[in-house]
Amino acid sequence: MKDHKIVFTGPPGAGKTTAITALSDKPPVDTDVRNTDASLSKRVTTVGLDFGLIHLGNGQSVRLFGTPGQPRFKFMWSVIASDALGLVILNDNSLPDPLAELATYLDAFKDLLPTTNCVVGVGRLPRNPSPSIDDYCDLLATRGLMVPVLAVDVRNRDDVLMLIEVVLTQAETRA
Amino acid sequence: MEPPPVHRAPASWGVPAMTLARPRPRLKLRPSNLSEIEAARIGAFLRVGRDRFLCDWSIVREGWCHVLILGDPQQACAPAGMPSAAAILQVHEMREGQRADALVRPLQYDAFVEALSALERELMLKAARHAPAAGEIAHSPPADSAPPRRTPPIPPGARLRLRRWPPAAILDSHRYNLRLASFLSGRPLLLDELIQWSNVERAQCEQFLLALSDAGILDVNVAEQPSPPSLLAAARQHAPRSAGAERGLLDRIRGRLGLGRPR
Repeated sequence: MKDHKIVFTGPPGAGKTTAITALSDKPPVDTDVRNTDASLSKRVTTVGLDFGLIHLGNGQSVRLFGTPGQPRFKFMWSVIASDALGLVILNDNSLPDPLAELATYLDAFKDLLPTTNCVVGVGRLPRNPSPSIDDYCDLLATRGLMVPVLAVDVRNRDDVLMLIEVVLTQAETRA
Repeated sequence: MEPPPVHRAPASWGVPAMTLARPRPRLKLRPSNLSEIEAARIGAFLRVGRDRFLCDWSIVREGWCHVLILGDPQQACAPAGMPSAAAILQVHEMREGQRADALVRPLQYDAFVEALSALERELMLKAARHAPAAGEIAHSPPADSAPPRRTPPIPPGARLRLRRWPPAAILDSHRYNLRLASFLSGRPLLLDELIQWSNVERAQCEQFLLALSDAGILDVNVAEQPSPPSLLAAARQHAPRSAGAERGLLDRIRGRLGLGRPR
């Protein structure tokens, strides 16, 4: 049976664990530990994979993976996302240089992006309006990429579902 | 917000008065003493903000223009003799004591659109005053007749794809536009495929495509010969079973997550 998976990636604190929790049938397996990185304003951070599961019946399921955000785990990002049904890149607009953060992930997944269903979700936009969604689109356009960019609050399950709907719709056109 | 400083010159500015029956007036904008990056940024602002303007703006590199975007305040006054622009919009460096109603570097989308819209309204008003009113009225439709419905310029068999993700103004104008945009972000589609797969009415699909076309972000590819309808249908019937299975999987995921389809 084919391994169906949807991968969430993005910098630490972007909301990957929260997004997977919103979708998973069971409490996700996480590898959160106490944060010792002073540059991150969060109590715990993920140092391994987040893992969740959506049961579809008939023995089929969709696995939800969250990549560790720290750049030292970069080597495993594209391995995890290989052959994924969808790739969700979550970004945090309150970071000092959000566009550079996105560029890091576009570089890491550059071999997969042309053939992978992908969407970018930008969080914390209302309080940090710059860069705008249009700025993100401009960055993607300069790289020849047509990737949807949506403003999201991953604490809101509907926003997470909206991201999933976009990658499923892309998958539909490629099926 | 106060309108930005406008330097006037005595003319009717060549701005056609707008009527319901006519297409949007085409106006020229010329960046001067701005960097290439700033000029490109203005071009992007004009494309993305098209729906917020009354006119179609194009960038010219030389000659007379309706609005001159001037990067060097020292040259803010129009030269003597023939004016080079109907209006001048200045761009300043951000510093203390800066006028609140001028554009400042780095150029920002909302400030630019608001400033240009204010100039646009002023130019249109001036044009309306100078327009031969009787002639304009003669070409106008009766007030109670609906303007003709526009359709997107899509040749039969053309494959459509987004060039870039649409601005929020387009996505938010109808509840199915996000879905339609998602379809067009995957791979080039025929109009019929878009209608069939999205399950959205043809009229709404066409309206969305028209907005994309107007914004200059729709790629229309007619390189391939269109398949006759019968062949297209036959090709679908003989599509690999894996494609059907994949769609079944997608439907099950949607069902499991409570993601509804249109209608």
